[in-house]
This record gives sequence, structure tokens and C-alpha cells, in this order.
Amino acid sequence: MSAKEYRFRLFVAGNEPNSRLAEQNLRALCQEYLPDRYDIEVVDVLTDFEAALDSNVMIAPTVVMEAPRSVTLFGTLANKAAVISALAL
Amino acid sequence: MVENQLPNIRKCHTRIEGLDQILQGGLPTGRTTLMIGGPGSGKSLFGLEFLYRSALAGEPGIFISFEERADSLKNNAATLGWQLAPMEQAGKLFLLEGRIDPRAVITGDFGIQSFFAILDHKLKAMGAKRVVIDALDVLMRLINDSRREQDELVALHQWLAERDVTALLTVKAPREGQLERNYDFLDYLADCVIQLDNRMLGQLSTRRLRVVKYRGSGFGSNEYPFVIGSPGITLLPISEVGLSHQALGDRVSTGLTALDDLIGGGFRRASSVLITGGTGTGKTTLCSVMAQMACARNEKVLYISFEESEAALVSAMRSSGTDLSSTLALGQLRLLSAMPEAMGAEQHLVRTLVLIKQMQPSFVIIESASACKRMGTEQAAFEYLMRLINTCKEMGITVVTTNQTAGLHNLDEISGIGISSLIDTVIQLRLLEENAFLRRKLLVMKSRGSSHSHSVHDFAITDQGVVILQKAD
Repeated sequence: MSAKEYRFRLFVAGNEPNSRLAEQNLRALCQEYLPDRYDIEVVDVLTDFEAALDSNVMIAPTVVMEAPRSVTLFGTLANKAAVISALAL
Repeated sequence: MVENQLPNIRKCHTRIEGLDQILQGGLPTGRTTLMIGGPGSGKSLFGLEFLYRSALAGEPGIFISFEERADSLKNNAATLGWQLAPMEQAGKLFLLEGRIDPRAVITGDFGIQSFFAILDHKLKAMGAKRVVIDALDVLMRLINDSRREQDELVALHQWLAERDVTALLTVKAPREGQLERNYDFLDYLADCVIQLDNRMLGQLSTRRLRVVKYRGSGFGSNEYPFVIGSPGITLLPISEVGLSHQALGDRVSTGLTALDDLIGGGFRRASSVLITGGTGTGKTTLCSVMAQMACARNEKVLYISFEESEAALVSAMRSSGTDLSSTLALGQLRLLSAMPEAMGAEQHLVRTLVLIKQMQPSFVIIESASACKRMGTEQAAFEYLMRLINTCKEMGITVVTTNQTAGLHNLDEISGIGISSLIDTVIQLRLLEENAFLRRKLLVMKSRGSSHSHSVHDFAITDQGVVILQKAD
């Protein structure tokens, strides 16, 4: 794990559309607001259910921001303003 | 189990005391059962006990909680004496905490594929066919779109059915006046629907269970009271049982030869006797004499007192010449004393029946019918006594009940609260003032299947015991 300031874990369910959309949205947002200051780990719950189990992730897509604060987001991150506010960017 | 000529439905035993009887065998195997109940109605415990008892029997199961923490479930289980940890270690039970972070922000669509992926893996790894999904409503509320909720529910239902999983889903009952369309939808999906509620009767809360539907199967359709306590949930499907009283047995002595003579040679085994009278007329003394006599015959006696503590009872008896302490020490006599107000009638009943089952007494004394009214309502007291006496009669146990009366002697009052049809023998005690003396009077008012004396007799309680003197003039 790198020591970037912002660390995200994105739980996706394989290639399904909501998960793909969430990944696009998260990457775009990070590029815009946190260039070079973030790290995203993508976990596919369909193959890595142990990781999903460890983190009690029942829903996909789920974004868990692990640093600098702990924040959980569900869904495609469709509402950019809501995501920015939740992450306090 | 009788299937009422319906197509052969596979049943999965819950092993919860009384529930399989109501469900005529258990939950529908490979199908979904819905359990609806308000907060604190016991849904989670039903689910957990089902899986725990299955695990003990070697059948693995998975419990997914969307609300309660696994720790808190384990604590609840521990208070009931359930040892979950060995079952978890043996791979027979898995608790999955699917709690949704309440602070999580939702934006845009999502699905529950992750939940399915975890569950699928666990089902296969454990070879499990039993699943409890507790507080499914919490997950559904997150979706917050009734159309999509329905889609997810259909998907869940199909997913479970494809895997031949016997599933118990619990949801919180909607508040009154609040329309929850999706519960109707779940009702429709599920093959079996069970409702729990926890309501106040008198001053006491009473838990009840009702089976609302069971596709392709008969089921007990009453409301069944239940209690939660060690060793688990106990339902009382007693009203399922017809009257199957054992025939009255041979005559045994009351402990007082003179009283035996008055009721045709002693009372019959498996009969029920009511001793009625005002305060201080000697009911307890008479009961103690009978208890001691039964012990002397090497019988086991259960003395249920709602009026006096064990110590008070033993010391009161000693003053009238009956020493119960040695039989108590031997465990031949057991005293069960409780304040009637301490718990609901159902809880009293379960406590009593559990003890009767353990102890297998041949003689039970209930002191008193009048005190039972303090369990809440007169109806509750009636049910307690009716079921207790009924059970005793079914098990061939002789039962003596006392009742404190206030004065007038119509039979309704004498028999306490409408239990007279279950009573075989009624002995009435009175205190009368005669020539500036208080005299004790005894009258046998009824004795089924016996010729009995119809005269009032004088009796006395001395430090030598009870003496029945003579026919009163």
C-alpha cells in the first residue's frame, strides 16, 4: 500500500455497469480534485469475496475512503456534489 | 406428521420447542419463510435458535444480520445458555454481520451482488442449506425505490430457491397506519408467513406467534403464546392437543384417615382436588398434610406457592406438626414459589411445565387459584390454571388447588375462575363463630365418581396436626 494522502478501496461486482460507472466517476473526481494525492484499490467482490467479507461489504459498488478519514459511499457516485461534500474535498 | 392429504411438502425441523408441532413438521424445505414482528418481538432469536439447533444436529447454517451486531447476538445467545462458539469453530454456524454503515452516503444505483457472492461462497464452503436473513428490511430501505426493491426481492427469492436453501427472512412489522407495499409482496413470494407480536395484557407483556399462511401445508392457526428464556424459545401449542385425560386411578390417602372416609376412601390418583375457603381456614395446612403423605408413599411432590416463600411455608407447617424440611432436602418435595406479578401467565406456565417435565412429580399442589389473578388478568389466570391442570391430568398427576374465597359460596366463586369442570373433588373449609369460639368446619361439596359425605364436620389444627373431630350438629 502506498502512503498517498487519500486512499480509496472500490468494491465492484465484476464488470457490471454500475460498478464500471462508479470506477469512472471516482477516477475522474480524483484526477480533478486530488491529482497525485490519491490511491485507488479496486476489489472485485465476485472473485475476492474474502475481502468483501472482511469489510462487511454487501453492496456493490461501494467506495470506502480509508484515509485521511473513514467514509463509505454506495452507488455509482452519480451526484458529484454529494460525493465531494461527503469526502470533504 | 399428518399431511392432511396435501401434496408431500418437505419439512425442515426448527427444533424450537413447540414450533414444529404448530408448523406440522417445520419450515418448508428449500423455500422461503417470512417472519414479521415489531422491534423486540424475538425475530432474531427465532432465527438464531433455528440455526443453532440445526448446527447441534449437524446441519450447517448461515445467519446474516443487517441490523444487530454479531457481538450482541452472541451475548443474547449466551444468556440463553447457547454455546455458539463451538458450532462456529466446527463450521456448522456462521454469523455474517451485514450491517450497513448508517452514515454511508448513497448516490446512484447499486446492487446486492456482493452479498450474493459472499453467501454463495459460504454456502458452498460449509455445505449449508439453511439461511436466516435477519432485518432484511434494513437492506431494502437502503434501495428506497419500491420497484427496485421488488426486483431485488424476486432475485433473492429465486437465488435462494435455485440453491434449494431453506430460508427464514425476518422483517420489522410496519407501524400501524403505515403502508408497506413490499411486505405484501414478500408475503406473496414467501411460502410460509409467521407473525410475532408483543403486546400488553393487563400490566404484563405477552409474546405471541401466529402462522398466517403456509402454502401446501396445514398449520396450527391459533395465536400461540411463547416465552424466551433458558434453554430457548418455548411455544405452548397446548390447544392443539385434545382432551386426553388419563382415567382416574386408585385411591390414595389424603394423610388424614377421617378425611379419607368423608370422600369415599381417599382421593383418586390423577384427579384434581380444590380446597376452598377464606383466609386462615387451614387450606395450606391441609395441603402440607397431603404433600407429606404423598412423600411418605415415595412419590415426588411439586408445591407451587404464589403466596408464601419456601422458608415461610416450612416454618408455618412445622407449627402445625408437619415437617417438610427432610423431604425438601431429599429433593422429593420441590417448592416453586414466585410472586404472581413477577411475570406473565405464559412465563409462569412455561416455568412450571419445564419443572414438571424435569421432575416428573406424581402430585402437584397449586396455592392458590385466587393469587393467580395477580398475573395480570382473570383470563390469564384462567388460562394458566386450565392449562396446568389439564397437563397434570394428561400426565396422570394428582393436582390439588387452593382458592381463597371471600364469603358467599356459589360454585363459580368456589371454583375460582371457571375451572370447575376440571375439578373432581371440592373440599370447603370455613371458620364459624359458635358460642364465642371459632370453630373450623369442613364440607365435601363434590367428589366425582365417589360416594361422599354431605355433612359438615368440625376439625381442629393442633400442634399434633389436623384432627377431624366429628359430624357437626
